[in-house]
Amino acid sequence: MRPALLVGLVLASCRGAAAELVVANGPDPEVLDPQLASSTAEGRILSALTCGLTRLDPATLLPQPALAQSWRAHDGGRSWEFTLRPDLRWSDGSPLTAVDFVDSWRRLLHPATAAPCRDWLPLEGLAEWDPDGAAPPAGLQAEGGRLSVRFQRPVPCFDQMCAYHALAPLPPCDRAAPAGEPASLRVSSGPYRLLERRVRDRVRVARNPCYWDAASVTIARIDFLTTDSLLTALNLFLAGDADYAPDVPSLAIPALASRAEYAPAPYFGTEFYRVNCRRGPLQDARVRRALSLAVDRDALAATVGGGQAPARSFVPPYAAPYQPAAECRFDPQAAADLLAAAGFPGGSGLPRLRVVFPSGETSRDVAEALADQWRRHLGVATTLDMQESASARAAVRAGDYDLARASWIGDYLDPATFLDVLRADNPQNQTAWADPEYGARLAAAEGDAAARLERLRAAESYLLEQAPIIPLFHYATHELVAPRIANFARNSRQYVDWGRLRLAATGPED
Amino acid sequence: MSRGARFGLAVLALLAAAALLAPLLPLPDPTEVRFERSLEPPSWVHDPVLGTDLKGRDILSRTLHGARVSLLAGLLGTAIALAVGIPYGALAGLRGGRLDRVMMRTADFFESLPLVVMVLFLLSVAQAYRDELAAAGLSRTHLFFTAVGLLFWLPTARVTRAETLRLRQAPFVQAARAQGAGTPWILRRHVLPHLWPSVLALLTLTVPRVILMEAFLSFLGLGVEPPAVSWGLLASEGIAALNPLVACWWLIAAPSFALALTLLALQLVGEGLRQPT
Amino acid sequence: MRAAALLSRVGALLLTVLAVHAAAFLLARAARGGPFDQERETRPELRRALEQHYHLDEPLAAQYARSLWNLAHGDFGPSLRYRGVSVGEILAQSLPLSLALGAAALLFALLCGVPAGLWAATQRRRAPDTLVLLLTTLLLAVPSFVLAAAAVLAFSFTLGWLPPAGTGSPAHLILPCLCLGLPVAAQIARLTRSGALEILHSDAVRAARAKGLPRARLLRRHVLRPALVPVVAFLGPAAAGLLTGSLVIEQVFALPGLGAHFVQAALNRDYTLALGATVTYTLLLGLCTLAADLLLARLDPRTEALS
Repeated sequence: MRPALLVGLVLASCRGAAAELVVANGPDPEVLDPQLASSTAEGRILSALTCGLTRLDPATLLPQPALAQSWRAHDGGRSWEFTLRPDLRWSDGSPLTAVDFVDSWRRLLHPATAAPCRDWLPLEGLAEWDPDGAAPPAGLQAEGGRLSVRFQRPVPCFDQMCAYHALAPLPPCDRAAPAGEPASLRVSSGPYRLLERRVRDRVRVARNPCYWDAASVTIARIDFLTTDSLLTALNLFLAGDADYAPDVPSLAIPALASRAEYAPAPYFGTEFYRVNCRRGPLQDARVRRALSLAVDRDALAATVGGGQAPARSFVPPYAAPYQPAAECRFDPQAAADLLAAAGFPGGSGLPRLRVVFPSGETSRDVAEALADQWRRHLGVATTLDMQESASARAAVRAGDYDLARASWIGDYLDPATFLDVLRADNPQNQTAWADPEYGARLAAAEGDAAARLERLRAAESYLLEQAPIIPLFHYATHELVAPRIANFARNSRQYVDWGRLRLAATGPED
Repeated sequence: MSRGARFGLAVLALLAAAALLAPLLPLPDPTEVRFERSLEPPSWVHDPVLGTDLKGRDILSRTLHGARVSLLAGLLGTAIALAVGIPYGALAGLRGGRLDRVMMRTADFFESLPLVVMVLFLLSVAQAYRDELAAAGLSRTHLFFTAVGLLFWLPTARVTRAETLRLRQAPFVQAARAQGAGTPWILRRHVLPHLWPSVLALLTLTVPRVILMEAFLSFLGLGVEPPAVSWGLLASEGIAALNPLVACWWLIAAPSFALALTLLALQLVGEGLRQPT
Repeated sequence: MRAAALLSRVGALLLTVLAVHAAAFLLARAARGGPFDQERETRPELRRALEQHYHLDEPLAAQYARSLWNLAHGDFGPSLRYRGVSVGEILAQSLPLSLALGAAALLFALLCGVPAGLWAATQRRRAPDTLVLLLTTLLLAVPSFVLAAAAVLAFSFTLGWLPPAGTGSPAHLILPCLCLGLPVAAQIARLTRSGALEILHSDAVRAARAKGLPRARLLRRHVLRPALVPVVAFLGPAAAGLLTGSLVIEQVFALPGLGAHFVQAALNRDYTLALGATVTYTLLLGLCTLAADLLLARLDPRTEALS
């Protein structure tokens, strides 16, 4: 009886064949709610399950018609008007209308949802709006197949932002769920619908026949595998058991460089260190600037950076036509002089600085290298405080650090997605740096569309000079893409439109 | 003493000496980052003898400095396990009766917990109280020793109790009892001295488990605090070298060899202690 | 009498489960950082909404009562980290794989360990003995993550025999089963060897040998059975450990088993999942120990297992 039981258990644990496309997706998704998800792994799954008013061209990242067949912006982006396609349907066949957008965005704006992207919709009349009332804010209106949006201030990239899963419509069943209950996406608007979600195993999606562009979806099913270790993801890919892996172990990068499946591309994200501007000597901008000047970013990027580009600015230089204020440089002499001018010649008199960073191979490597450089060039002593990632986040939020590792991935291709982070009132700021001059410079950019980028650049220049943050790298994507995916486009946001992927007809058989 | 045990002792002595003297040896600083020397292979004879890692740090130096942490962790963790387990087991065995039953039920209870989870909980709870602990002069390393001691005191207590039960029947203990000697006296005079062989055997069994536990915690990113190094940390850093693309085998070979050698030596010594013939 | 003893053991197990539940509950609540510390979700209103939804804003006693009441129904509530998924669902998804893998690893460990131990004991101080000692020491000396990664390199890439990770076919489970079972096999071999050595030098065996009993029969009858006593005693906790999975093996082989949940739940302060996993472990351990004790009573009539 025992062997029979064993065989049964083994069989029970091996379920069906793999899907047509397998993605080694990285960490397990915590929540499959497009308005609440924040990790890139969750984002990949959600971009298969949702579709917004627009979608992006995978090559150029320019917005293209999706659920909206056309749109127009007025007043430099203060108001937008979208015309929806006729006969849109949810994956269960019920009609999808402009009202679905209004109701989804009402949930997004509701304080109880507490969505991370709430400030993306600075609608007119938001202040007077009753979240529990029946009407949407005054700036949001649906009539027939038309959706019109009116903002308090210009939102120039709103058509790009509409392609992000947070602004995609949420099915009626999820909108009706009580506050605090995350969406389950049993019904979807995107190219795929959810087949099953198995924790720590995979999320399996299947083609959604009701998708507006269902005709161009050729892959029947996709598996998003949970792969906690980068080494495992690499192994799966090398064995042909996964077709796409978004990241690779940094030790493997030199060996991968010669392979066709691997082509690193710039990624619209920056790794930086926050400086706690509340802490004693760090209140002095000269000390902060000295710390930034003492970092040899080129050496850092060439070794522990794993192929990433050294950062000269906070905003990565991939959001043309914006030209970032490229003012970060390595000048140990100037750094030492600044520190001396601030009253700490050779680091004497400066208390030991506590560097908080999450446990993990690369963040540890970077922290150790930084500590080494600060010690060598400035005589600054540090304590390396490696913490488990959740507690590291909590420590940073509580202001319980001197220097802390951080990263920011742009949500849309515009400098504002970076520069807004350091606004005094942004909860993501967390450096206690609240400089009215910076706020004034950002505000000055808002009114004038022509001079906007130039003024944002001036704001960034001021930011780098005050150095509440120390930019280190601009990320590079380290995607591994199997040759059997015929039309994969590498772009600076790791944006993949799963619905438009095609497998090569004569791909290598395994 | 058998040849194997002598060999084991010699290896352990050599390792301990190397660990103790590591800072005095003419080696590069184990934490010194030299980007220009990233991932140099072992030369065996001159400077990087065992190669360098991604940040150009010397592997030999890191392995020897790692020995300090790993061996110390093994010894201190075991010492805590023994310090808790031996008195517990001896008391239960010697007093017997109701006290013994209560103490053994308590041990049963601890044994039915997934202790690894409890230790992780403890470490993650303690992390939040880091400043208070630091004020009391405690670091994560201390916590780690305490946690490991908590993990491994149970087998020690059980072995000690069994041994004490055996000793209780021994004529000299019976005689002492008949003369009206009290429990502490018997414990100190007649029981503990006779426990040494089994305690030493336990030591050789527990030290490897503590060292491996440290390696496991390093794998989770919860091991020693940087820039300190341990073998477990080196092994988990080098783990990515074990794939068909990367040829940096020395990253994983050095710490694995050091671990295997130490644990083999301990094993041989333990064997020798158990069979004195 | 035996039925009563069995009943009291089951009662004790239930009491232990209650105590474990209380301990895990208290320890989890003592942690300072909450489970809702995410990169971007920082607003106090979100925290309040979440805490309200998961009843974390109630007094401790009320939370405990709720948790106990749910435990009685076998309901551990929703996971705090995997929002939208219940702990029961997670356990139901991960337990079968862990049980299958653990049982296979246990079987493998026994089939390797016991013969190896016997062989070493009969060939004491000769090449086979040394070989077994050396191999078992090595297996016990290498961290499991190194062993697993090395096995993948050897069997999946150098030899190309087995898939490196994932699930989908029985072949996918061979390598993890090997890596999970080998260290246990090494321990079983050592226990069998020392047990058998003791018996081989006992008077009973000497007498049987003097009577001219055939070697195979001697080994099976007089040596194996008593030599297995320490093995079986070790098997109870070891089986529970194997059946609940291992984080390292699951991470290296990308397996959705129970082992990683223990560690991740503790690290993420997913109270409900940690509670569910811990209670599951305690129950499994209790059952395995009980089974081992029953087996022990059959192997060695002298031990009154259920007294």
